[in-house]
Amino acid sequence: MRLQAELLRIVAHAAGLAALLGPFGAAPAQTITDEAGQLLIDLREATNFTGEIGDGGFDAKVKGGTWLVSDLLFCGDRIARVGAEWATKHKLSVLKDDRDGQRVFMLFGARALDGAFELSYEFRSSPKTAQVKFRFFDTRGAETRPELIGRTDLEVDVLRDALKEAMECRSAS
Amino acid sequence: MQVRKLIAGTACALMLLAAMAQTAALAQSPPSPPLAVDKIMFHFCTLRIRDGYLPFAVQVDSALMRFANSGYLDAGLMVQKIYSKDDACFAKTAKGCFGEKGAVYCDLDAIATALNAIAWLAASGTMQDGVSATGEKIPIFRVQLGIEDALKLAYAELDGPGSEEAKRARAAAFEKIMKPDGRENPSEEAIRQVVELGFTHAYLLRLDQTPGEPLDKANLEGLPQKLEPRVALAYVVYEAAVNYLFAYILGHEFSHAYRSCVFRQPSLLETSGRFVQIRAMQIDDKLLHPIGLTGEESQAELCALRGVEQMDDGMVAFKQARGNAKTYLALLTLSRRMAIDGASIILTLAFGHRPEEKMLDGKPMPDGTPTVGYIMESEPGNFYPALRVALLAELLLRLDHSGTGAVRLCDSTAQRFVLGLNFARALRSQRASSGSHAVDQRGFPEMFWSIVPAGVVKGWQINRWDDKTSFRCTAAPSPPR
Repeated sequence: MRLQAELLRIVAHAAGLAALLGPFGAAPAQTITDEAGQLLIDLREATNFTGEIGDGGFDAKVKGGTWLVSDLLFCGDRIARVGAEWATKHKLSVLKDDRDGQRVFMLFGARALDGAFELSYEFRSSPKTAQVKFRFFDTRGAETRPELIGRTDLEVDVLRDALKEAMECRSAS
Repeated sequence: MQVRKLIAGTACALMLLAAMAQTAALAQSPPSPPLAVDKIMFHFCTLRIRDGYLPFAVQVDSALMRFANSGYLDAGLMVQKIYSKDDACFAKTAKGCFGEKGAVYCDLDAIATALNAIAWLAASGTMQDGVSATGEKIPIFRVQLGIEDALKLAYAELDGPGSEEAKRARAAAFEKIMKPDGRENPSEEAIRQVVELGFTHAYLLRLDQTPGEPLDKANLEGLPQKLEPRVALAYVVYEAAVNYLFAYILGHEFSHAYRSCVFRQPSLLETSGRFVQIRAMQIDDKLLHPIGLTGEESQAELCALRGVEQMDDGMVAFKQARGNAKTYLALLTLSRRMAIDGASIILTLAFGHRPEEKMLDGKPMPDGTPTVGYIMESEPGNFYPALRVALLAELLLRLDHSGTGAVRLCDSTAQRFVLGLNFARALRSQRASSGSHAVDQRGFPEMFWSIVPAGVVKGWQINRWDDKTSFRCTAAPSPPR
């Protein structure tokens, strides 16, 4: 038996994606939200990670935590671009777009939304860390998890993955 | 060399048995700095409690107590256990283990399966002559039963060895051993081997029934006298392999439960920089599809390896202080290999899943190997299973000084390792074909040649493997050319 041939067969079945994406499907969507009201993504350079260890287990689904990367750069422009493109795609207005050398702060809204999305990105250089928060505030100021406002059409899952890629400067520049 | 010959020149089997009460031994080993851990709560999820009988609970308990009394956790560590059939418990463990807030949750079936599979592997071992790298004659303990067979037996026995399913699985496995070439009538020698294997396995589990206490020789009652040496040796291998495995699993889970590593001594993989090197494969987006790695999982894995090394230190120190140190250390070498196989079972054959659940099209591979869920996918944020197995193998290889080359990934463990890595590479290649990245295919041989047979390295170089020759344990590792 040729292992490679079997690999193709196994991969296709194991990934369960053969019908959709050919023999090598994309990785499953990442679960990187925390339990609180906001979507939170933390990145840290692997070389200086000495943080507290959170909950978890053997191959358990990761619910939060800090993601390690081999190197970390300021990627604010990419974050802002991902945010703006998402807003355009879903016919949301950019209500605020503040940027400086370490931070990005954006607000998105629409008449039918009854609130606004807030996207914030912060980069720190010592030790190198980056954090994205994506939140939804209703018109009374209450915070809700963006995935839970009943607007699946806004594709928050897709945005979340794009933001994580952008934080690593991996999205298209 | 057969077991009896080995024993004849050394000591009687029962002396060996008395000496291998590692529970007591580990409690006597030099204490490490005290830990900020004084109690742990275990939740074992199980649906198998019937009439007060819970198969394998005693052996799991015994292994747990050996870990808790190993001398590296506080001597006064208080272990509390809850057996739970709540959905919440099963949801948390996801057929594995989970640690949070001072508690560890484990699926009892999953732990019991790994433990019993190791018992079958250890029971099927025989002692033979080997020659070290320096030409010295040394005893080598070889395992005759395949990992998949051991796993199938272990799954079938989850309801106890007397269940109909267990009897059927034993009949099938024994048939395979008795009639290796499909011959019609098994030889007398083959029948004897199978009978001895069954006895040895049963008595290994009977011996391992005294949690926190020295072994009770009364548990050997009924064992034919001529099998006592075999059981004695197999028990040493079984107990040590289970100790490694529990140190690995619980080292990881304790980190989550206590939000810091309970083992303070850095492992050889940390001091050598090898941990960082292998971790980089997961996060640097050069060789494998980047599924990311969280700091928490990275630290928990690092801690698991510390736990394994400290367990190894304790067992080596104990065995060196006994008579027959050479024999004991040879057995420890086999245990290290078996621990790698055990971890591979957990990590790549679906911890806690029945084989049928993961069968591809419900059919085995052409060579008869069950396609039992080679777990290719990994939850984002966790190490790829193949990299975890590599880390453990690398550590145990570095801890082994037998010179036998026995501690490594081979046979079906190596096969699954290759499949796992190739899968992660294939996903990346698929992404790269869209033009975003170039794939570096040269990295695997350089990274892993020391822990795999030479045939695996050659396979990476020519992109082809042969089931019969590429993964053989007898083929020594060699650096890539």
